[in-house]
Amino acid sequence: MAVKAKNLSFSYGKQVALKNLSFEIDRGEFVAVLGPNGAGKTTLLKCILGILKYEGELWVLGCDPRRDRSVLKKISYVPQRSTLALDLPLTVEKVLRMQSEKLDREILERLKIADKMDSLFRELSGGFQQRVLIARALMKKPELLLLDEPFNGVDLVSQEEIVEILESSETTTIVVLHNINPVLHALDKVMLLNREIIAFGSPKDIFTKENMLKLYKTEIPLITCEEGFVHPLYGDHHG
Amino acid sequence: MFILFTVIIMDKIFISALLISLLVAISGNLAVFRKASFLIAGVAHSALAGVALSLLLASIGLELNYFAVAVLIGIAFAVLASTVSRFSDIDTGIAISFALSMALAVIFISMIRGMSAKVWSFLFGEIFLITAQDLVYLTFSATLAVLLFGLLYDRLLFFLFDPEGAEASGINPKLLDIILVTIIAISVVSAMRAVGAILSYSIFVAPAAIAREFSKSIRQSIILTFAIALVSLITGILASIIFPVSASALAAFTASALYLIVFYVSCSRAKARSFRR
Repeated sequence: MAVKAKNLSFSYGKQVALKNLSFEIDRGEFVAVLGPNGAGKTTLLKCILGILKYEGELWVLGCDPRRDRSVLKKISYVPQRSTLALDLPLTVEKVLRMQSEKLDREILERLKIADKMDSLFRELSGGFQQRVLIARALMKKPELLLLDEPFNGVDLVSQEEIVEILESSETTTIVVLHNINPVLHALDKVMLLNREIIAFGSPKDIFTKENMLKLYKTEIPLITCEEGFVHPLYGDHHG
Repeated sequence: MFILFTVIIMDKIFISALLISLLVAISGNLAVFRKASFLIAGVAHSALAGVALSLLLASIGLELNYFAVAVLIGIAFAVLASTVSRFSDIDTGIAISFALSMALAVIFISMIRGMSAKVWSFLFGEIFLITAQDLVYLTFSATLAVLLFGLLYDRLLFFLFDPEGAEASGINPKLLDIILVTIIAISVVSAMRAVGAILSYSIFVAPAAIAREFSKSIRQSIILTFAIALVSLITGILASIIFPVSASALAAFTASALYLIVFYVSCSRAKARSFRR
């Protein structure tokens, strides 16, 4: 088991962010957490990292992340790009070396950034910045990979290539998203979260009108693709 | 004899300028990259309260080193601002701490009326009045800043660039931020006698802000900041020999004017680039 939660709750003061979450994620699974703004998606990742002092039980790679901080050595976290200080004059190589001494040539080539080592990170496009952050996370050879909104401001080609790399990885991956469509076909499980779990299961049968209404408090049109996956069609306010 | 005396005095002043430039290179960059430039002004003004407090204590028979008291109050201010920034933004933290420390400074100054002139001398500073003791404080601060910055360089960089990622990697962000603001506080307080509380803001921030525009690496940014700060200080010192104006005011004027020129040139270039597209 990679992550197991039982009655996991967290509040920012009186504001409830997560309420009685119980779920299990097996090793090697690729899981997406979907929900509107303020649904507690990033908060859930921070609980898994042991950064927030939650209530309830949470086991990450067999450890209690609040007490056993050594578990962080086995986890890689890719934060939202908006939290980065993009005005720092850092080369791509410097950003990569923040988490690992040795650079993995294969990962660099797969993510098509091997020739960008001397470029300034702040001068790259959103897609390439995200590739660098994912490469940095993968080079740590984590057992658990957490990604927060990795497709924000990323072009479609980069989105597809990043999904391909994440799908082929054997690492347990949890990705937090506004828009699930770029990654839907690659997923093992989807969690619909709006402070509490609305539904948790296979991406093929989780997207029903009822679940989407509970999640977004408004009707979301659904469409079934040739491969049998149901895709939600988002309005602008849902990304 | 006169020439020898002048050489000794100028040596002290130029060594001070070198040490202050080193402090600016480290702390100016840390403040700019931490997006806490205003912290420089806040720390400098809280240090005034420290100087006033040490004089107040001396007037009742308790002699304490003014530098130690000013550093402690400067660090307390910076840590308070950093703590508040965890719940709000750093500017709000600095503003609240700034108001508190200035209120304390005014209260202490009004209680030591006879000696308040000494406190006011820290407000504007004067590099020509640097004493051997001030030089010792500058050397101590520069050594400490270089050591802490050198030892924690990789962690500080990770924390400044990606605070959430750094915390997720096991780096303690609260402790690192306290060390960072402490480096800034010690640097500003030790340079205050020379550049003054009011002018320290431009001496510390303008060179780092200019360097950020042109640098391709952190190392380049530090070297460029050092060079700009040194040129500004030396220009101020030399100009004040010719004109009867404060050296620190001229140095601050040079640094700020350089920043405005660079800002204008950068904006013009950006406009020209967007026009060509």
